[in-house]
Amino acid sequence: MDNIQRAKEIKFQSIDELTRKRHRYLVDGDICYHWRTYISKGDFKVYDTNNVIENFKKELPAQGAPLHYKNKAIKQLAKEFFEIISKNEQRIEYIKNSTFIPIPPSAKKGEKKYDDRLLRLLYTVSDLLKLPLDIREVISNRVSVPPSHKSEKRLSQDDLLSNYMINEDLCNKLHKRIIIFDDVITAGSHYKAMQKTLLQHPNFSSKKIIGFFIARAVNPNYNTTL
Amino acid sequence: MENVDFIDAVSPFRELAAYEALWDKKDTTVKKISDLFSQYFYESNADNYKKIFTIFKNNDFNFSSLVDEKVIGCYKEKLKPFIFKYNFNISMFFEPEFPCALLDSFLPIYLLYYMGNFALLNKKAISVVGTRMPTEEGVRRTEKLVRKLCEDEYVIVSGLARGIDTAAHKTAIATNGSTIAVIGTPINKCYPPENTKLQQEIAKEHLLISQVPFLKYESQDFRKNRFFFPERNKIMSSISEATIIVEAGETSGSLIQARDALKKGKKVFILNSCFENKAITWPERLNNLGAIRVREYEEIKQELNKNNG
Repeated sequence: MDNIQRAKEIKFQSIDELTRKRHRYLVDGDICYHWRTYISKGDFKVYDTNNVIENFKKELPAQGAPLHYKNKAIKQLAKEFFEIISKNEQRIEYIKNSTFIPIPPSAKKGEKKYDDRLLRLLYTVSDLLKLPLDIREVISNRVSVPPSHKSEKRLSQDDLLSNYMINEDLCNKLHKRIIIFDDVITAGSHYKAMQKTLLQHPNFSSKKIIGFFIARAVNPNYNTTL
Repeated sequence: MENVDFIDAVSPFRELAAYEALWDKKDTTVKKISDLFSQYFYESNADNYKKIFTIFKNNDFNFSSLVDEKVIGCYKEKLKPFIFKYNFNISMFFEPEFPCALLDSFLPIYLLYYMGNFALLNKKAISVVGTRMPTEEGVRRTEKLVRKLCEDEYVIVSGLARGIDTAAHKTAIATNGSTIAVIGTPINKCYPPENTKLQQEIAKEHLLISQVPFLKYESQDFRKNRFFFPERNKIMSSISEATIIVEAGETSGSLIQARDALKKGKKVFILNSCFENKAITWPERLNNLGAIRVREYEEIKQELNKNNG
């Protein structure tokens, strides 16, 4: 089992020529990283990644067991992220010189369903690293939207774009690298809408904007012509 | 051009190119490839381990650690037609989703090509295998057995060959069960050709996996490529809780799988009818090695439940 543990190690993967075409909003030049692979419509009870991510996304307000599982998932995923980052000095430097901007929660602050799981994960990573990471809620939704993993019809790029707004107060003294952070990248529509929104702002226009995700989603029923 | 934002992440395309390049050397075999990577994880000799440990401490060990950058670039070009044409995925040893059973083996596998639902590998699975030229009775027995296994929610693993394998996959699909096909060709090829539709259906609705590299397979002829077929049986035994042989000749690939499964401490079931065929001797031999003679599904079920008890 020792050998397996040596071989098995959580690592960042880039979304490259091999995998990019599965995320139809992404184009050449988009720089995105993830460390797990999520199966859309997968059987999550037996598949660890789906299981952890379903728990991570558990809808709020939650109480008792659901909340316990959610908190546990946040801790576990933060620990994984931390382990990747703390592997070498270069990675720590990289993270230190980045501004993290999470995708805004679908429900707005103050609402019952407001879920700041992405922020909580990042702050946990920051605690584990004993480093104050630069984490900012630069973008928020104008109006609450149904969570995309629950809704039947996904919001279009235009819907997303017109609903995002920038908090001007948080746009100063940015690091040279901006990391958009989300749990799962599927088509990449949220990531691209965030990127576009940020690039329209003068303070961001010269920045390098990249994406970090817990997992990329693969659709098992993808066209499989031989 | 400053378009690469550097964090030392793994690029799956780069790894695939390196893996295919390592395979493309002369006289490479599944065993040689496996050993090549295993030496980095298994403490086979102390010197090597020391060397490796230094690599490990600060950086990741991947396929690309073993291949020259120029060569990787060249293999990326060679692979482009495949990656644009076929919608396959790869899973690599270090990923949290990669099955531990394939690493914890006499012949560890470090990369899989797949299409379909990878989550099926996390479910309890049984291999149903046998001859390419079954009797009518053999096909009927396969169908009956697979229906019962599906009722008990086992995923049916088989090798997509003619005969028993085909019957096993088709019955699993017809019963609304799940099935995994482990093939001895690259993921874009089908053998036998008449199973192309079946392979596509498995790739879309179930799970199709292969360890066979595209370029190596293209560059050598069938005399060498046929050695991939028995190798896939070893993957099947690793990902299955047990192996059932319905009917098989003296030289069947399913016997390789049975021996491999026994070596791994897994259960092998041989249907009683095989013992009654006086033209073959393998049932007795496997029986002596620990394979279990069974008359009906209930006996298999009891033995499997012992495993979990």
